[in-house]
Amino acid sequence: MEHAVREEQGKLVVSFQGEVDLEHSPKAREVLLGAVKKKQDVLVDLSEVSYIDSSGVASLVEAFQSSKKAGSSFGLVSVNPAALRVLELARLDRVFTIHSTLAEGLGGGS
Amino acid sequence: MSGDPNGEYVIEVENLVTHYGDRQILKNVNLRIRRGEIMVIMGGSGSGKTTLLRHLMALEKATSGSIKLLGSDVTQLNEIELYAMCRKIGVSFQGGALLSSLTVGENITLPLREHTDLDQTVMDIMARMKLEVVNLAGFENLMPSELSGGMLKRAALARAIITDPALLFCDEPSAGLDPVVSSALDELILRLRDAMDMTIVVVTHELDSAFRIADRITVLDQGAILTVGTVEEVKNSDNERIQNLLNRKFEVEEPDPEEYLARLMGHT
Repeated sequence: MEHAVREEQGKLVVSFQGEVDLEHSPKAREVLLGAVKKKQDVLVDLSEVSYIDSSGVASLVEAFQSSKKAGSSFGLVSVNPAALRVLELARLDRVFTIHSTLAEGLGGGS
Repeated sequence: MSGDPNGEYVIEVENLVTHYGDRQILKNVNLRIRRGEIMVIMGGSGSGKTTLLRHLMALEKATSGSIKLLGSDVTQLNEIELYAMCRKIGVSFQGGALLSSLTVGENITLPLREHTDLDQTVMDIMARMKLEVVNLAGFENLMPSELSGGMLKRAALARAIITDPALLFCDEPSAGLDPVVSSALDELILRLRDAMDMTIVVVTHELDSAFRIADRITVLDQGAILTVGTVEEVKNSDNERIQNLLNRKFEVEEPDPEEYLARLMGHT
């Protein structure tokens, strides 16, 4: 799994590439919680994620909760169909704000 | 269905033979299951279906033959390799097999504590997510003794899927449940397959359940495969033993008098 963090239009965009699985989710969690700590709005770009398992999704949930406590927004971008099915199974598609594109996430708020 | 008819095989059993002592339990079993497929294994009592499932879980030692799971022959793996394989396999045992001294949540996260070094917060969120999936939200702090039979089975399923396994093995998941609860459990198994692309092997003697969930059914009889086919193929089979199984007729074989006497005397 690779990751990158950049700032765009005042928001932190966290991008992951590859598989966010049991092996890599601890690193993903560290990156996400680190981004949330900066008390900026966060967008997590999942467009390059080929697979995300429950540990990856749980890390997203934890970061989302932390961002709410910090008063920041937290959104997901470009969730692929396989990842969306995992979110839907646990009814998390109703919890997260999901943007279909990064432009939408940057423009519309979350 | 899923189980793409052209998809890759993730379970391949070849020429599997097993003995318990002198007794042959499985007789040259050959079976291949595709990714995303739900395979139901049926058979009468003593047909070898549970033994076959235990082999697929790598819990039994074969006399001969091979069992490939996700491309690896589990009969040839060393302990470390088997341990790694366990992360890719989820097992829902008959009766649940939850540890009575642990809460439901602790039971569910047990495989994570054994196989990963995830943060406790992440494990707890994962457990609650899986409890949501099996419709047991909010039950994580209860003890297993506080759950009904159907709830125990669902909790066991939550534990079986906690690592998002590629392969899920269920032993009699709906046995002893009332029809409504049983049907809900079947729906859950179908949803798991569809959402997580799991390959699922279910051993059951519940016909209604088997017909609801199976992409294909394997019928075992006296340790050998009678047939492997779709629900319709099995239902329409003209094999008398299969029809007896479907019609719940038990065949009582005429015993050989000498063997019978020896059996009664405990000499076999």
